[in-house]
Amino acid sequence: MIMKNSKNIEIYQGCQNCELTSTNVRIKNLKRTKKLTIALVGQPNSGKSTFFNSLSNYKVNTANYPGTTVGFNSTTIYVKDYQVEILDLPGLYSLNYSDLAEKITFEILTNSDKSFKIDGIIQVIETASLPHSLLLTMDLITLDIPIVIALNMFDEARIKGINVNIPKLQEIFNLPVIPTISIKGENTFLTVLKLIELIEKTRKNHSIDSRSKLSESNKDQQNYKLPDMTNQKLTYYNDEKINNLLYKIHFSENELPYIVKNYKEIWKKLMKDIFQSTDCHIENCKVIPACLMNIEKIAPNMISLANIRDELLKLKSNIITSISSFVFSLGEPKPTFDDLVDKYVLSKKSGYFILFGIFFIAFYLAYFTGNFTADKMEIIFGFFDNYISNFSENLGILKPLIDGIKDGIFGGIGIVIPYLIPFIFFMSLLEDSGYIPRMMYLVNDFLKPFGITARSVLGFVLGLGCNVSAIMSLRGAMNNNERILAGMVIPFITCSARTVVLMALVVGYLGALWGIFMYILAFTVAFTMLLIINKFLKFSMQSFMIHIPSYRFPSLKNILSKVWLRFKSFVYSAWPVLILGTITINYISYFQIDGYINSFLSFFTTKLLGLPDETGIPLIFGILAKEYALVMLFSAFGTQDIKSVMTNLQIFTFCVFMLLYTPCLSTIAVQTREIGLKYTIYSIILSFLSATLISFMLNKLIQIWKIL
Amino acid sequence: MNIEKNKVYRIKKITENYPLYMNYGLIEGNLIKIIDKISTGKTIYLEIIGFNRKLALSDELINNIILEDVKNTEFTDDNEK
Ligand SMILES: Nc1nc2c(ncn2[C@@H]2O[C@H](COP(=O)(O)OP(=O)(O)O)[C@@H](O)[C@H]2O)c(=O)[nH]1
Ligand SMILES: [Mg+2]
Repeated sequence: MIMKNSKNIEIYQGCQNCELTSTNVRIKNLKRTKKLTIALVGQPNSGKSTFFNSLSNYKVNTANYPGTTVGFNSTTIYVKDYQVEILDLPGLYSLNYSDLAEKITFEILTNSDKSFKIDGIIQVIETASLPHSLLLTMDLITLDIPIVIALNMFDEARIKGINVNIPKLQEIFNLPVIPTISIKGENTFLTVLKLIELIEKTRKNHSIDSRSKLSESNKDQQNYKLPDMTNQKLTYYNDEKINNLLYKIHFSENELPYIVKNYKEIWKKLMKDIFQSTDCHIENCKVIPACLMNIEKIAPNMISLANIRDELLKLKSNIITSISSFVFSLGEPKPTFDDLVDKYVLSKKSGYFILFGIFFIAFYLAYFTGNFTADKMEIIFGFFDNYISNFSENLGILKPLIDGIKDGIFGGIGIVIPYLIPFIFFMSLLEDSGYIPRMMYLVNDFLKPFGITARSVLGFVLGLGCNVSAIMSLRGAMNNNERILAGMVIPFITCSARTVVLMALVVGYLGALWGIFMYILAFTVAFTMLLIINKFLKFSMQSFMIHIPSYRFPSLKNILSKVWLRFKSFVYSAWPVLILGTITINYISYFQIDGYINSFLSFFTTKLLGLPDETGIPLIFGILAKEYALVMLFSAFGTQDIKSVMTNLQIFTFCVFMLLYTPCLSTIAVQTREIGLKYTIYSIILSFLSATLISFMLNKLIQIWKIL
Repeated sequence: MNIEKNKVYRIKKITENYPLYMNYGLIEGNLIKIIDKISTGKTIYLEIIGFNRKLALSDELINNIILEDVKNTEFTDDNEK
């Protein structure tokens, strides 16, 4: 059952009078000089992006920060007399980040990334996993930034029969807690309003004399009854009260607000003690929990400090366990929709069939839309192409420049719109529905021997569409080594551009079986490369751990915004390279250097691989974009009937070489950005060596066996 | 320790990289239920009962967790509280 009425949600009590009126949203002609930056923070899949997109009804401006590793969106809305920038930050479990996406959020929140200064945080929580999310809340409160908690997916929690004592939760954390259903936009704007009120209040309080605060906390201390102090393990602190707190396992309902309030002080106190006994000064550490995680690095000879840290982490989990027991209750255990579906989706018997079925459909649809759009686009391009060529005809030395820009832009659009966009679309659909983590679980075992985990499997699948988007998808991979490894190997996966060439030459002239052989060959090479790279670069073995979220109905708005973000980062990183590349190559043929290049390469093409001289230039063009290899082959021979100018064996050898010899320029550009120049160069060298070796060997073998 | 399908365990201790396990909800004292193992049995699917969370992880990560058997009766008692 799905709720239809927004009144079903209890509105946060203190906020009944701040209704969502349009006057609150946009008051034109008002000078809004005050700026605020608000961050949406929460675990992956808690609904942050949906929350963010629901605010776009009020937006005046959106921007995105493609970033070097993980991109995120921002939107600007006007609330009261503020201009508020809202950031949809990558998911985060705690401030002790363990992957790159989390690191981005961490750096922005702690102001290590100076481009943002966060004034307030909305912690988006998936209500059904409130206890787990409180771990992050405990970290966030140490940041000294105003926070409002959004209990999101409240509809889902209702259906599951979950109960949350919201007033109690508010009392314990002394923070506003608001139930939201971001997929319907319910209470999302209200949450923003509430946070702004809180920011205003905090700023006002800040100016109040600090002495009055001090006396207040003294009062607190008097009211609080010290628990019994028995069996104390560590006497590291001179503050008895803190020592006592550390070793409690269960806290009473009345103790909790006090504990939470002092939790931050406990960490600070501990940090001060720790850093007084080492050379490291507390200022060096941007934030307390992160600093604690590095005790081993900062003070390797003080193992006891790490032990104390572990005690404190336990304290944190004890606190949240206690809180949960008072504010959170699961409903009657009953079989859920998830359990029912997962019985088949995650089973050994039917799971793999469903996996292949889903991917077959997704691929088919992506290729179908891709081919359809590519055809339509060819017609439009043909028109412009003629027009621009006529125009550039008598421009002399500028002609290659104009044509280069044209070819670069058209080439980019030719790959991006037809193939990349449908692929990202269908993959985002699978991602948002919750299937991707399940797929990872199904395939993880098979990938283990190759030194990668299922985290990068999405990249390998996307690689069949376009290597560029595949490498960009690796951002979610758990750690750097795995990203590098997968990023080096993905170019070996036969992308749709190469499929076009294979279809025309191999399937067209040699038959479908040879086409399948090529696909298998490329996959085999890719996995062999994984083994080889692992052996030489000695990357440590990766572990795999991922949450399996509930199935959810994806929102189109979310998916489109994801597609847009990824498309934009492609435009920024790959397109300029493609355009520069085409211009260069146009000048090469303008100055008629191509003849020299052909004869220069002939040692390689003719002597080693037994190909005609003319294949040199097409292979050079293939570096730009693989399908250019085919186009240039036609123009080099002046015919589309390749069979009349090349033997079967030559066609085969040419295709094997073309399949493997180098990633295309756009891929190289993205690789450089994502895995760094060094590993990109390794990857290119490996491609070239393997292409030469394999095409040479297969050429000789086929000659001996006389099968072609 | 040889973990079995459909059995409930209590996490007694995490021996290494405590913070990472904590991020994913594997916290000392929590109950976990092994739902399934896939294909060669190296990837494990489990539920963190108190946290209402489902988790897939490689078996070598389980090696850093000291688990203790929870008798079924004890488990249901816990549940009723
Ligand atoms: N039922 C329900 N589903 C939601 C709600 N908010 C988000 N979702 C769905 O949850 C999934 C994950 O949301 P997303 O915004 O991508 O999460 P993020 O990873 O935190 O950005 C999507 O399929 C959303 O459609 C909500 O309030 N109720
Ligand atoms: Mg998101």
